[in-house]
Amino acid sequence: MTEPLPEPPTEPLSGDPRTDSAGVCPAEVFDGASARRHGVMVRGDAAALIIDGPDAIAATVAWSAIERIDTWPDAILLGRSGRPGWRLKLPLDAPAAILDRLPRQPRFGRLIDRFGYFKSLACLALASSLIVAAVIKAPGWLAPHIPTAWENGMSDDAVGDLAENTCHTPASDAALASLVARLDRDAAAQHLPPVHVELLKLDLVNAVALPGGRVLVFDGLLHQIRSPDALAGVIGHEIGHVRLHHVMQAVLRQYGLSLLLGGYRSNVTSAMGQMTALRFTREAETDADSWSRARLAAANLSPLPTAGFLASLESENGGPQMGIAAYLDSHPDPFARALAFRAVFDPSRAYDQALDRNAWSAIVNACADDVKAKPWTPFFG
Amino acid sequence: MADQAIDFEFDGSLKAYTAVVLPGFILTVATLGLYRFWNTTRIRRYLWSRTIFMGDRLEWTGTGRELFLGALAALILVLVPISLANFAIRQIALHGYRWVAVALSVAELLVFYALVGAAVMRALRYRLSRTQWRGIRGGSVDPGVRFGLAYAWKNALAMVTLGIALPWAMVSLWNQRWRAMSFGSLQFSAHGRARGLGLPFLLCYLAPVIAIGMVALLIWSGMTLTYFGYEPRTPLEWILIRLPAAFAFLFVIALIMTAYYASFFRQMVSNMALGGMRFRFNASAIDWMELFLGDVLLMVVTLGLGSMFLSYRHWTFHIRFFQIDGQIDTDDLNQSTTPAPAQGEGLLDAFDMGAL
Ligand SMILES: [Zn+2]
Repeated sequence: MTEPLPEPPTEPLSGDPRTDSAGVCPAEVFDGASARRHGVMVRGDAAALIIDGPDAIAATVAWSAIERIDTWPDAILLGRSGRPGWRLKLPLDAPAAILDRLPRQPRFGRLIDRFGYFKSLACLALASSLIVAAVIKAPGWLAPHIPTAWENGMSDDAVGDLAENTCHTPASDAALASLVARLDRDAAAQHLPPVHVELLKLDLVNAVALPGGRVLVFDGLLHQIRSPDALAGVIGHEIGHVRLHHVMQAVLRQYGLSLLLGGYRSNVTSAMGQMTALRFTREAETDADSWSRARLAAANLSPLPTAGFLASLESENGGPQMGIAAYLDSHPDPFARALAFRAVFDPSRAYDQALDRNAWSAIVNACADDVKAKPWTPFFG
Repeated sequence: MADQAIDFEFDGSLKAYTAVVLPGFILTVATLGLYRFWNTTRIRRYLWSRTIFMGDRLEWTGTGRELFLGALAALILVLVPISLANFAIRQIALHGYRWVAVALSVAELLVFYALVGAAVMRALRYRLSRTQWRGIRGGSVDPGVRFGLAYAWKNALAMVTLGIALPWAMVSLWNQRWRAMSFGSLQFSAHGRARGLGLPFLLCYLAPVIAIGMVALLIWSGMTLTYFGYEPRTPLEWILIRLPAAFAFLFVIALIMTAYYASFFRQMVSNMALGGMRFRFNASAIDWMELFLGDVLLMVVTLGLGSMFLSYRHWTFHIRFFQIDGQIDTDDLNQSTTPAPAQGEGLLDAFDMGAL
């Protein structure tokens, strides 16, 4: 401790009062048994702190048994090991024979004090960055190895079964099933569990992939999109998310981050939160598009309508509309995506149609025809 | 000692506090939050040590390690079992046993409440046991089990009676909690009554009615703009249009709740005593409202960074309005014989309820 030393006003001959032969100074002791304050005189020698006072209080305490509790604006507070509640209040200008032998003041904790604040800060920040990096990277490595059965359980947790809010007519179910079968043709051969594509009665332009191999196409998107081939492109993209394990990656990433951020509170998140919180990385979006293009080509479907749909999102005048915002939020940069779809168009090829007119209208009108389906209302208003 | 003023004084400053809390806050960020237990300890050491009672400073003797171990224990012993129980109940519900699941959920809720109650009690006990003055500390011999059960059934009763029993439940729980506490050789007494809380609580009870009115205002404020030809084009605009009404709504509700809480707190404190000392707390609803609005404003303006100053604000608020009448004979105040709990307010921290 290097407290500023007050200039001694008197006794110029004795010099520094801290180093005079006596080296005694007044202090206060609380014995830990009662709240009574005891005035004492203290001095220090090489081995111990010597406390002179009433018999019950007087003591010689070895330096190794002295604990430095705190430095107050008006005193240094000392404790004594093995004597809880025992306190000695030492003046800030106590003799050097005492001050120089006191242990160091604990500041940030034993470990941090030992290495110094800034060195510890740098090490801890580095370690934390490594942990964050691992949490962000690990889902990519882990996701393909998670059994699909676990994923099914998560889906039920996240959004409920939504049975009341999805639209089903015999014709629309058949049409969707045949479209999915054409896009996801290899699934059966590779013994992959089927992807369930359903229509959600919700007037927003969006489509989402959920845990458990579920894809939801919002009713609003069906009215924005004008061609069954574009619908195939959009659904292909979402199935791509499922088949490339992006959903599991996003779940793991979200879970890891919530753990990191002390987030045991996050299990209160609403269904809507769960749906929008499952964000895929840009990389995953690009990969899902590639998957979709490959499957469109394999099914002999034209990529142009999908490109047209994506381009139409960008060219809306005066900024995005309320309904489209959701899709753009989860699928950014539609113009670049449109270009990528246009680039694989082969003018010399005779493409098939994704759906005939009856099947297409069955899908578009499914939510109007299915009288039992209720609009999904996740929030107030 | 009767000639001495026996109110609390506070001689800390925001500047000195910042010098204590800021390095700790930076460490907390750098450790992804882990250091916060140690930082909490640093904050308390500062606040306690700048609080003077009868010429001597308070001392916080708790450690970061205690808080950390407490939180860890709560995580393993309570939150993990609760998550597992939640999962099991959901599976039971999914397999069609709906009523079994409902019954189990109710049982789980009661257990959860009992745990929260025990946590409230144990946190108070921990804080008293780590608060030292002239070498004397506080504490309790009560492990909090019975209080936890009382907390569960009294809150359940308040729920079943649609809140009518809530003031009574809050008052009796406050008394039960504080009567179990002691400082040194002196036992706290608490004789708060629910009488007199009726009117403020009635207003609280009417809050939902007022809320419905405010919600109508909320919708109406959106419709008016639409009527004048202004259509919200993005979700953000949709929200912005309703923002003023939403703020008015929250303000009125908060004011009503605060008025009740202010009179509850005032009455509880003024019916407490320790030895020859009687306590008073004279903050009005407006004072509390200023505190809370200040908190909110501070958080918003500083984008959450101001959270590190909340402890300072709340501690000085309580010191400012807390008064003591009577006297204490320090020669008769002897050391506490209560067992000192080994670790900190883990459960409470886990439930995110620790105020300081
Ligand atoms: Zn996507």
